[in-house]
Amino acid sequence: MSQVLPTSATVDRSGPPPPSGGEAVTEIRPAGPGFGVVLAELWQFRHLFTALVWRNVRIEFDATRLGSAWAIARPILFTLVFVLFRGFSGANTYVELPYALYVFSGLVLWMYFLDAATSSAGAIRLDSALLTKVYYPRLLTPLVPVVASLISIVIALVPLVAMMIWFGIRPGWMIVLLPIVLVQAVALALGVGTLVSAVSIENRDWERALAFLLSLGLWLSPVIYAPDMIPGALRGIYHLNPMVGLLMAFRASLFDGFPLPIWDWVYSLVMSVCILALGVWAFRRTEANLADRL
Amino acid sequence: MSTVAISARGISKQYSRGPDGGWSVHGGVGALYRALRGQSANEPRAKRDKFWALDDVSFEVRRGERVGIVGRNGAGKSTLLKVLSRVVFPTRGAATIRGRLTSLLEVGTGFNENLSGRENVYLNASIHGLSRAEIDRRIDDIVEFAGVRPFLDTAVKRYSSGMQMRLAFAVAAHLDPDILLLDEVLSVGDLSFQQKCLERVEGLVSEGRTLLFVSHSLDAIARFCNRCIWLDEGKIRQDGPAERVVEAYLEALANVRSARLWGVNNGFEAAEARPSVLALAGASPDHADPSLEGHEPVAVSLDDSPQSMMVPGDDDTRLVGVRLLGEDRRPRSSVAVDETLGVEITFDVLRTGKNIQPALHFKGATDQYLFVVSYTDPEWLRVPPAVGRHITTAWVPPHLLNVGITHVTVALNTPDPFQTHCSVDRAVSFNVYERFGDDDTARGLYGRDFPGAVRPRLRWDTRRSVGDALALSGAAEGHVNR
Repeated sequence: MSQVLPTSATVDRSGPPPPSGGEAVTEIRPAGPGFGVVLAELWQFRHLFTALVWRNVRIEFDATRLGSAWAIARPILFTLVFVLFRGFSGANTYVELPYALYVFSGLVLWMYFLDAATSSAGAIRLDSALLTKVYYPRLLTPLVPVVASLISIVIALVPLVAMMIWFGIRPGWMIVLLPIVLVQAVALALGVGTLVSAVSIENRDWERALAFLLSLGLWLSPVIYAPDMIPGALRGIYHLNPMVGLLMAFRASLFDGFPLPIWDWVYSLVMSVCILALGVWAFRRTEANLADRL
Repeated sequence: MSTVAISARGISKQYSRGPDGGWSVHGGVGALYRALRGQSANEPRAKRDKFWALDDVSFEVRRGERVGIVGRNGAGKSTLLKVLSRVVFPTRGAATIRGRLTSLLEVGTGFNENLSGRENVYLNASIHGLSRAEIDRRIDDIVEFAGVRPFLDTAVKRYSSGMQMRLAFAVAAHLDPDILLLDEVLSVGDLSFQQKCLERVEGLVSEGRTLLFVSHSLDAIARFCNRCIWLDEGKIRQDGPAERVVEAYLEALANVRSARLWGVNNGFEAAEARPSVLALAGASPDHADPSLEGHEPVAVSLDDSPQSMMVPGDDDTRLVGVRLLGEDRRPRSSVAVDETLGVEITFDVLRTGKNIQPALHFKGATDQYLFVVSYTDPEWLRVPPAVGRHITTAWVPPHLLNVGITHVTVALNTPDPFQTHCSVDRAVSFNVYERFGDDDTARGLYGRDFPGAVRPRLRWDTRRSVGDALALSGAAEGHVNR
């Protein structure tokens, strides 16, 4: 028997939890851990985070064999359709940039947001086997798909760079803003994801509402046209959409000379933070009896 | 370092039966409407049936203690483990856990069919809190244990279910926790897998880890745990040494009785107007028969169904009582594999002339026959017994019965011409258990359970053969010829 069993000699005991050198002490209370504890735990469970992100990426690119090709093809095909439409109709989209590049860059970020928010909102159901069996910071469940979806942006960079070379457009100094823009996109998607998953544990109506809003959002955001196309009377309302500032800042960070609408972006940053805070707050409210309700 | 590994203080968990509320469009609109009309928003929730799955459960588990948790379905066992593993929060109460806790509420949590074996090992081990470096160090052992090395980079969906199970368990076996919570993990998988689990648990136990173990296998609890908590409707009903709690639980659960008493009277002639057992229980000492000393009323099952009030027997003989005794002649309700157990039968002979022969039918938990014994003293059988009360005890030798529940049917027969005067099915039952670390049984040093109805310990004779093959075969032939 001792041959098949790992003895204490073969299994090392240098586990991570004991934070202060001593043994791990866990307190269980009705309310659940405070937010500070949760942040510390997110760091403590970083290995699980990486493993889960890797799982999501692997599933995405294995379930359909064309996984990575699909990630490139989807924005390219959409770009092709919109470019052809504009060419046939001669519509004025107020776009100064080469239209294909404008649409493609917009679609890359938009599709990331669409995927990330949708999968984050439905993540609780996907992870229900985990949530009801082991403890980990519950916030990981909506966070993981938001981060894992970034892979589609990384893949889309290849045709994007190729297009930029083709059109002779290079990034300027504002490329330093790109990480901030991407973190903002992650935060906004996570905010929407946590908010929707918090209210849709038992009722999937909110998930359908989100899918509907997101499909509408493509036309309400400057993905295939410039914000200048919107008539002045509606412009005030139009700019309430935080995606406006985000999309324009994304392009400004990529393309030298593309104007950055600074106030739109600041507004959009503030909104992203607010939506994230609201989403996390709502999520943590439902977190306490999450496993009970699954 | 504190010696207390788990300290639970008044843990309570409330659940609602019936339709669930929560935030929804309907609920939200409805709540808004009621709020506008000045009604309490909580009203429909209050109408739902609330119940306490756990009700003020307090206990302490010391480091190295091995605690089994028993109880009926819905008694709160799994809820308790879920609270302690932080999957759900308690409604009230608190708990402190000192040390690295791993809870195995199932084996292979988070396994994904599309990932390879290696990826699943990393994912599953990270779910249980291991870092990448820790898994790197263990992966060879894990793969070895599971025996899936050639398939390590194959997607798990191509594995047989047995391979998946082995891999999942291999990860669980290498988590190396200070405190291990196990919930019915051993009840999944085939027999050999269950055995492997048991062996690993035994390994952990002998290393002095703290174990909290929910199982319906009372044999496993009796074997691994030195303490047992019996949960009943969310409350702790009994907390104490594993053998004693398992016994008490068995008696309550399976209607297992270690002593039965029917008609008790002083004048056995007055067969028709026999006072029931209640007379004895009703503390009337003048009625108590001296021969039944030690039959404490509390230890006796007082079955109030009409059948049980009827005294088994006929005009020739009647059964008075049956109880189980230890070698010290004290009442017992369970016995270790290496102990002797006595079945004491008390019966009245009402008229002489017929040979009365008690017989015992031993049956297993699922009523399969183990064996039958009948009274075989030639002196007794030669002359019909005198009228009066007789007490006889049959001694079951140690190392005969396997672990588990054994039911005893008691009969009073006349062999020739054959007549059954009475036969009481499951008159008494008892549990055979095995003490942890007891290697001096038929099991020897094996960690596994032994199948079979009986488990005798045989005498083994070994001699070293010094002759050649020819001599050996010659000896065998000679043996056969004789």
